[in-house]
Amino acid sequence: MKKVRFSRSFLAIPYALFMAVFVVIPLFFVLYYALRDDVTGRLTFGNFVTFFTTPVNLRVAGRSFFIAFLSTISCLLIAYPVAYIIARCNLKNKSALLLIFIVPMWVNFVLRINALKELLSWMGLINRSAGWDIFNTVLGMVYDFLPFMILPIYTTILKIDKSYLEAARDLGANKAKTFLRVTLPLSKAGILSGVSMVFLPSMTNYVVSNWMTNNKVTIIGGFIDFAFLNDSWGRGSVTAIVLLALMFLFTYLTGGFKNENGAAKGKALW
Amino acid sequence: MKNALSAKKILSVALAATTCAAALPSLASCSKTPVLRIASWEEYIDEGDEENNPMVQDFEAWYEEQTGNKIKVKYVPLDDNETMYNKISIGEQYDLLCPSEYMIMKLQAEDKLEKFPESFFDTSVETNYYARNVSPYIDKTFAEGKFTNGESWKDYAAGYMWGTTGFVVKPEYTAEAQYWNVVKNHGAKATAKNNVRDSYFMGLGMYYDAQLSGGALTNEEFIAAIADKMNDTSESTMNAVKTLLTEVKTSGVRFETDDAKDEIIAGEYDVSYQWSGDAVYILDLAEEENNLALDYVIPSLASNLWFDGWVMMKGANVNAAAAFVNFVSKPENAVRNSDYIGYTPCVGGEAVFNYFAEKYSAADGAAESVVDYDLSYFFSADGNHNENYVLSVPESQLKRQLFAQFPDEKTIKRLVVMRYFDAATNDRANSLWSEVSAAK
Repeated sequence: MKKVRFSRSFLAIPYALFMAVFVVIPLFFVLYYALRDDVTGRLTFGNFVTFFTTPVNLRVAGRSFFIAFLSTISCLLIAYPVAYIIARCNLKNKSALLLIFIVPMWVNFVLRINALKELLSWMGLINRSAGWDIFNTVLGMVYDFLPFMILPIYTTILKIDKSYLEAARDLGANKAKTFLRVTLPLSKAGILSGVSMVFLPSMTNYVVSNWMTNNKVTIIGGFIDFAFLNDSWGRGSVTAIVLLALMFLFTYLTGGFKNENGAAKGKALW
Repeated sequence: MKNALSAKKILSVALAATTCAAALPSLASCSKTPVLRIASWEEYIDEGDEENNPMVQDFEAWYEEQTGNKIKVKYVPLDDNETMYNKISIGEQYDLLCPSEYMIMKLQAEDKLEKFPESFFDTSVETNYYARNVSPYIDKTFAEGKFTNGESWKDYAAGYMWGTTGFVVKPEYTAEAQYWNVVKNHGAKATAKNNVRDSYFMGLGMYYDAQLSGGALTNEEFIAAIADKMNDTSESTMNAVKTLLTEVKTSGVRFETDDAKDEIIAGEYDVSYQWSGDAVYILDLAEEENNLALDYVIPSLASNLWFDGWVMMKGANVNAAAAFVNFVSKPENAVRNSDYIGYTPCVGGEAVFNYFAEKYSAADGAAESVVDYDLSYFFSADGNHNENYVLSVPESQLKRQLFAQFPDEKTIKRLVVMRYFDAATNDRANSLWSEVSAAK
């Protein structure tokens, strides 16, 4: 009989089990219900056909995409300078500075969004117009997801070897050029990671859109919630699968599946 | 359907397997005491205070005293009917549930419910508090209400709390709120309910108001078929309702769940569509906190009669479950629960009548004019007029809390129980709601 020797890979067993039970198996259920007609119970592709031929689904998907796009851009524009400044400042204890941006994450997000809503409604900014509704939604998303953009960018900038910057300066590049030609390209992995961590959740975080607009702005995540609560599991599953496909596409396009640059990506990011 | 069931079974087994580990320690410490599992809503039963025990604890003591057996009640508060349905679908087992009327119909149609035993209806037994005290109005509604297979609601369900839906309005809009259009007319100064069923009912109200005023339908024709009309889910009607609700949504009306109460109490809305129990709460607080008088109005066309009822799941501990229903139906306990949660109980009896009489009767020497308000339909033994059950109340109560808790007899005739949507209708209703909720 062969002796079973303990190897390091055994440590991965709990993780593999967890993933199987809570990720892989549920995914099959989602797929099953997506292929099952809610009314007749027969297996069919009808749910997919209905999803893509119903204008309101596409409109809401488009609206969610738009909101997620605005939220991501806003997060990036705020997060990059913050991450850059903290990573490059000469303070001894950078993490103290970083903490200011991380601490809000320790407070439950429903609580934070509720507080933000109270604040805005006190300022009279809730329920003004359709434009304000979109603005408030984006504001809520940014408030919620900003740390997820700051952290990966901060980590990559921190890890950039200072000698690259010195080399650039030695070769005659000014500060702007050093940033554009050295720092920015080298922090690309952090940006992409941050973008995917902000973009995808802000397409589906319907709690933010519902609360910030008194249910006036409906996004695709709200559709999924509604369908599952109202006994239309097929409808909900199809929507979830379409979103999943979008995520895969997005990750593929941004190079998330490639393994090159492993040092800057896999290991450097938290 | 068979596939679905087996898939749900597998899902539940998978869930059970994963929760097993967590459950083990609690199992080990648990003795042989049988457990009565009850699924209901949050804060929907007297939970006690410094001086009083929670209702559930009192029941455990009462049950032991009555039967000599110990029992442990596990009260599981759930968010809503849909969550309850999903829990049951994946295999959770309860003895007693307290769903709303349409969910009772759905669960019965899916053969998930157990009938109440014959002995439950024997009024000669003193502890059969439900059978002895249920209001004749509720009893009649339950006896006449039929499931799709022809059986009566009464066989499966015992009423707990009931009420209507209507508009909480500022007094100047009381007349306007006789018509369902009032919500749309007030746009951003109005609220509606953020769910399919309540909104659909409101849309039907708007639809038939228009039919009647346009002469497409006479009042007599409508009354003759009021229950079918207010449950009309034909494709053409649904499309018309969709258009109406889309107009409501685009006019800026706020669709809320329970999140607008503070603003309504603060007087920020002219009109809001509410369940009667919440209306009482809003009216009370608006008066206490902001000295703001609001009215509760039920549109003259028709409105919704809703109730939450106790039903037993297949495989329930029938005797203990029936005992629990009887215990909470004892008039004194019904008063405790009603006082705690603010809704109107389905049982009558002296204690309940006295409680409401004390609450709403006009004080001696009150400045306001006093009128008679007949509650015989609810409290008298046979539902017929009885002088003992006529209250003298301040006139304002005709459109305020008392009216919200007990609509007058004229209104009662216009109340309709909304039936459940079968799978195909539910699918269409969900499509309708997707469009309405996403409109702007």
